[in-house]
This record gives sequence, structure tokens and C-alpha cells, in this order.
Amino acid sequence: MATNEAIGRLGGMELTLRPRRHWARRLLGVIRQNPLGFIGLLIILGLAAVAAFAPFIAPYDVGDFRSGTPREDPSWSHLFGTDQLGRDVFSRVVFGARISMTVAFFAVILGTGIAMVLGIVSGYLGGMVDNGIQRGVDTVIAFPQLLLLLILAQVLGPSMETVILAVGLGVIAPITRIVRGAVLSERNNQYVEAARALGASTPRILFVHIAPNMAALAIIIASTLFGVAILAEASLSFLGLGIPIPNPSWGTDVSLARTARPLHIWWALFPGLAITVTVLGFNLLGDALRDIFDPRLRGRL
Amino acid sequence: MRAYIIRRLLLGVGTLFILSLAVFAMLRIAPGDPAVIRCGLACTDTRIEAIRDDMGLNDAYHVQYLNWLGDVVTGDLGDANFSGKPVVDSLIERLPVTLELLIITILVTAVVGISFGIISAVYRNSAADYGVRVTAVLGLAVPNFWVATLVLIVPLTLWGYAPDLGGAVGFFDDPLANLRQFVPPAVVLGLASSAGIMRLTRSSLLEVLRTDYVLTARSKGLRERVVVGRHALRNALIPVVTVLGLQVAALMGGTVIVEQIFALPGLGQFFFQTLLSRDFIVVQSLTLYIGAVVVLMNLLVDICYAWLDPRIRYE
Repeated sequence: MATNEAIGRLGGMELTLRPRRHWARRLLGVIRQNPLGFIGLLIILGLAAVAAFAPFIAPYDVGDFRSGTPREDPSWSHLFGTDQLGRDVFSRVVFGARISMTVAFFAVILGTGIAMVLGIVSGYLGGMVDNGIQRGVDTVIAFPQLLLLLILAQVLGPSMETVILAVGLGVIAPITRIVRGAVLSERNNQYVEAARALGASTPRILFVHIAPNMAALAIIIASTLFGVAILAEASLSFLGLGIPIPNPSWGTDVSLARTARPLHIWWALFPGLAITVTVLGFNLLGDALRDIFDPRLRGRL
Repeated sequence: MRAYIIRRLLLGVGTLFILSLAVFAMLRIAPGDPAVIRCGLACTDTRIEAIRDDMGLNDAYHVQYLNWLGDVVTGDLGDANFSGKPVVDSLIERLPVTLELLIITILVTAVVGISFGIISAVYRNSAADYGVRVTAVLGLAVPNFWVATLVLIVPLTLWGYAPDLGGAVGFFDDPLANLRQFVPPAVVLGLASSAGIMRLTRSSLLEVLRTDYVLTARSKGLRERVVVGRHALRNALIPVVTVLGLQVAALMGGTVIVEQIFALPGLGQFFFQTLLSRDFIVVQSLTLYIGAVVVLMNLLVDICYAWLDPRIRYE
């Protein structure tokens, strides 16, 4: 039992000596313990497929205003009805998935990447560098994020690249703080000391030794950020500073449906529903990943 | 405590200094000459040059920056491009609207979030608990601009009902009409924060209910009401209060969307209009004011924290 305990703690996870089960059985166990996370995963995979195969799924062209008459109710030829120009809403929602997923994907990668570097450098070096980075983080956190996004989008001019950049930069500050905290406890580990004793340079210690140990944390953070990124893109587009028209962004379509007269509820309903389902999927998956890999983060993410 | 407050205020000033530099630099990089924008259509080169001089755009950057800081401190912000009215007047006129919206939102968030969080924790794994958890997960996923849109257009198409939009009715002039205007946007704005507070209250209370002193209270034979209400809740609510305070910043961002949709003439709408009209000099100043409010809010939250939890002592 004593040996068991000794091996039993590794990176904060309990390891017990049990015969190894077949991988499929273990996977089934994980799914059974996190049914909601599994549902989230299915939603995300489904949406990713929709985004990837959009041209094959959408029955009409997104800009084709001869696909139906204006403001049709849902029917078999137009599952989600049509908008005020007679464009097929279902096709627009399908292609909207592409925009939403692309923006979220690149924004999260950009944001997490920069935040990892900043957090690791800040936590490991300490002193002046740490202080400087942390004051910067304070500043960004001290400011309502949507306003920051709006300013960035307006300054840079509306385009997909702008939205990715703005949303990506917007998530850096909070992640930097979490990563820094993790590095602060990581740097006191023996392996870091050993590397230093062997004469490894600081960049080498940072990016060859410490960074890989932050990988799990990065994946968890990234998964919880997808929902944030999708909502951010949709809000920007809704306010007219996101994806420029005539691209079929979900946020833009809700905005169009709100202002066009006469009103057509179905048109406003489906794009918003698509946002909700997507964010829900990512949140469920993110929560489950956090619980599986690092329950200590509960409440902080 | 006093030393702590002073140190925090100094740190806050530092934060605002960085924010001011960042915004100043960012809006200098922005394409579009503010003088041309202010001058409008049909403008001559000499007029632009005169406006540039008048706005101080021909000065060196550090002179511009210092002049601007002086203006921000004294509240001399000039006129807004889109309305032609002095910015300060608009701010004073619009402040009560946003303030009321935020206060109602925070009240809704606190009442709904905390009470359902408690129910969820006390009746853990019951049908009520699952109901609350599902609602919370949905509340965090649903975009507020979509809910706001539906709240407006569904009654309008089905029953032809439209709330009174445009221009806020003062609370003291007609309380009912005022609340009819403010409660729907406040509830929509508070959806995500209520959901977050629900989850936080639940997990925090569950954690406290596992502690030894709660076990002691129970074994003394205290009624469950007293155990939860008097003993557990006090500790469980400490993190909740902190997060509630921190959410004010996010809610201020949300006012842009909600005020826009419900046509409330508040600060969020004003910020958005100045930004859309590329009136960057005004945006700059508004940004700094908003930053100052958030810094002060955070300080207040931390002081409340020490007051609620005597174990915390700031040196």
C-alpha cells in the first residue's frame, strides 16, 4: 500500500495500480461518468461535419434570392423558411456554421498561444517582466470585453481577419493569469531544477521542459473558450462590426431579422438557435474535459 | 486596511495609465483623419487644416496626450460628432438610465441566481436540482441579443404588442411605466450572470455543507433551515459576492447590446454611437472613464470581501 501511495500521486491525479482495461471499456467508463460531455462532443462533431460539408448539405446558394418567395414559413423545400429577400434560411445557417467555427477555431488558437507564452514567461521569470505583464493583464481585465472588441473591430475595419484577431486578443488576459499561476507551482518541481543544474538555458527550460506540462491545461482552457469566442463573434456581427454582409454570419442574420419589416419570427429564430446549440455543445464538452483532467479548476474557468 | 486601500488606489491609477496609453496609441493607428470626419462632407483643405489646429492634431504626440488627460480630468470633452451636443451633457443625461439598468440587472442576478443556487444545492440530485442546472447551462449558452430580439418581436407579431421604446421614462415620474421599460432589458442582460451565479452558489454551498462545522451544527440538532441559512450560507456566499461584483464589468459591455435593442438612451448606446461615427477622441475619454469605474468597483468588492470574511486581513 505504501508503494501504491508513492506512485499514486502524479501531477495531482490519483493513480492506482489496477489491471489495465481495454481502451474501449475505459472510454465507455468515461462517457458513462460524463454523459453531458459526451452529448457536447456529439454536437460539436455534428457541427464540424456540417461546416466541412456545407456545400453538400445546403440545398441553395446563400445569396440566391430566387430560391423562394420572401418570408416563407418552414416547409420541406425550405426547412427554416426564407428571409425578406427570399433566400433559404437553412442554407444560410449551414454556411454560418462554417464562419462561426472558423473564427472560433483560429481565435482560440491565437489567444491561447499568445497567452501560453506570456503566462509561462511571466510565471517563470518573475520580477520586472512578471510585473509588467501582470499590470497589462490587469488593465485588459479591468475593461468590459465587448467594448474592447468593438473598439478593435472598428479601428481595424470589418473583416473576418479582424474578428479573429479581436476575439483572439480578447481572451488572452484571463488565460495568461491562469497559466502564470500554474507555472508558479510548476517551476519548483525537481525536473526544472535538474534541467537548470544541467546548464539548460532559460528559453530551453521554458519551452522544452515547462511548456509540455502545460499542454493539458491549455487544452482544457481552449475548450472552455470556444463558447466565449462564438458568442463574441456573433455579438460583434449582430452589432454590425463583425463579419461583413452579405456573408451568412448567425449574428448578422438575427440582426437583419430584427430590423426588417414586416417581421418574420422564423427568420430570427433559427440563426439564434444555432448559436445557442453550438455554444451549449462547447460548454458541455469543456466542463467535462475540465472535470476529467483537472477538477481543481472548477469555479475558476 | 488603510494602507491596503491606498496601495490599491495607486495600482488602480497605474492600470488606468496603461489603459490611457493603450487607447491613445490604438486610436492614433486607426485609419481615418479625425479632422476630416469632424468636418463632414463638402470640406475644403483649409478648413480641415483649421480644424486640425483647433483639435490640436498638429501638436506632438506627448503634448496631445497630456492635453487629453487634462481634458478628461476636468471633464472638458468637447462636442460629440453625431449629435453636436457637448459630451459631458450627454453623459450626465444618460448616466441614470444605465445606472438603473445595471442596478435592476444586479438585483435580478443576485435574487434569481442565489435563491435557485441554494435550492439546487440543498435538494441535490432532485428534479429541482436538475431543472436549475439545465437552466443555468442554457442561460450561459444563449446569446443575449437573440433573446432580446425575440422578447421584442414575438409579442409584436403574435399580439401586436410593442413596449414603449425610445426615450426613458423617469422612475419618479411614472414608476410602473419606468419598470415596464427597464425590467425586460435587465432580465435579458442578467441571463448569463444569473446562470453563472446559480452555478457558483450551488458549488460553493455544496462545498461548505461538507465541512465539519456544518456537521457539528447538525449534530447539535439544529433545524436544517438554521444550518443552511445561518451557518452554511454565510461562508458559501463569500465567493458569490466577489463574482457578483466582478460581473459588473461584463454587464457594462452588455448594456451596449441591450440598450441598442430596447432603444434605451443610456451610456452603452452613447458609446456605440460615438464609436460608429468614428469619433475616436470621445471614445478615448469614455474608455478611460469606464476603466476608472471598473477599477473602483473591484476595489469595493475586495473591501466588501474583508468585511464579510474576518479571516481575510490585508496588510
